[in-house]
Amino acid sequence: MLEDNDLSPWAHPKAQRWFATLLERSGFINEVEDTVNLTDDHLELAHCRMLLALLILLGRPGIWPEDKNRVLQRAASKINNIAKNSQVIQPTSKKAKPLSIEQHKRNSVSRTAIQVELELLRRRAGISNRKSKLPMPSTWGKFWS
Amino acid sequence: MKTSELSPWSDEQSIRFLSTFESWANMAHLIQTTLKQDPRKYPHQIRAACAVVIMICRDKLWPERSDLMTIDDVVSLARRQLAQVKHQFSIKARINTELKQNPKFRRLLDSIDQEMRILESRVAEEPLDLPQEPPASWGQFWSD
Repeated sequence: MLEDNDLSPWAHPKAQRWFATLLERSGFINEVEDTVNLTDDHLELAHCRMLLALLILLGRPGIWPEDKNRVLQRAASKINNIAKNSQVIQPTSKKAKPLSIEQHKRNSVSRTAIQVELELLRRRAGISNRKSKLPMPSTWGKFWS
Repeated sequence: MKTSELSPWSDEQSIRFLSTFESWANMAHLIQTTLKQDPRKYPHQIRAACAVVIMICRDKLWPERSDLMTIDDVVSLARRQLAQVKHQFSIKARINTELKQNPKFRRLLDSIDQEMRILESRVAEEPLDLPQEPPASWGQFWSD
């Protein structure tokens, strides 16, 4: 008899073993861990958003090995720190070019987007236990097509 | 400025960062190797690989390397293999009437149809008009 949770592509035990092999044998989990271990000044907001996107997609039960959940938790915490620091306006050096209005807008939208994306990862990692339904990240466009 | 231009995969700095991940190309290798397997022997693994293709096979995210299939080729292969997986599941149902009449099994086949349509859309001249919801069996894809 098929159960509800038997239907997704990551529900079957054979699929779960395949996902675990994919993430571990490729070295992806180790590389995420190494990235999370870098000092904050090695990571930009743009790096964090890419990392977040990949972990939102792949860091889910059935795909991400359960015993590697702490990597998700550490990534969420690291990204949160970097996102927080990016809210603080850094003093610019005299040599630095001022940001254009377009760049300011882009940074502002990215900072807002990262908060929603972070909440998605926090739930996956079991850090947030909010239950409300979350929408797809607003900056991801027409994700399915 | 469209918000879709702000996705992580439309940002040059984000893409450059991802290209430093050796594991990303390794993953692509493993995905394409799985997609070349026999769907009669490995239907669950192939469907799993197709799901990853749906998630990550998009411009700039799929690594461009001479030892890897192009994005269009890998998406087309995933689409063909997923059709074979559906065929395998349907054969199972032909000899198991209880399974055939199970509404959840119907939902599984409907979901595979949706997954195939997404893959079709990725290689179509013009993207197909698809719902904003994930395939039926993927649950609360964002919140879960």
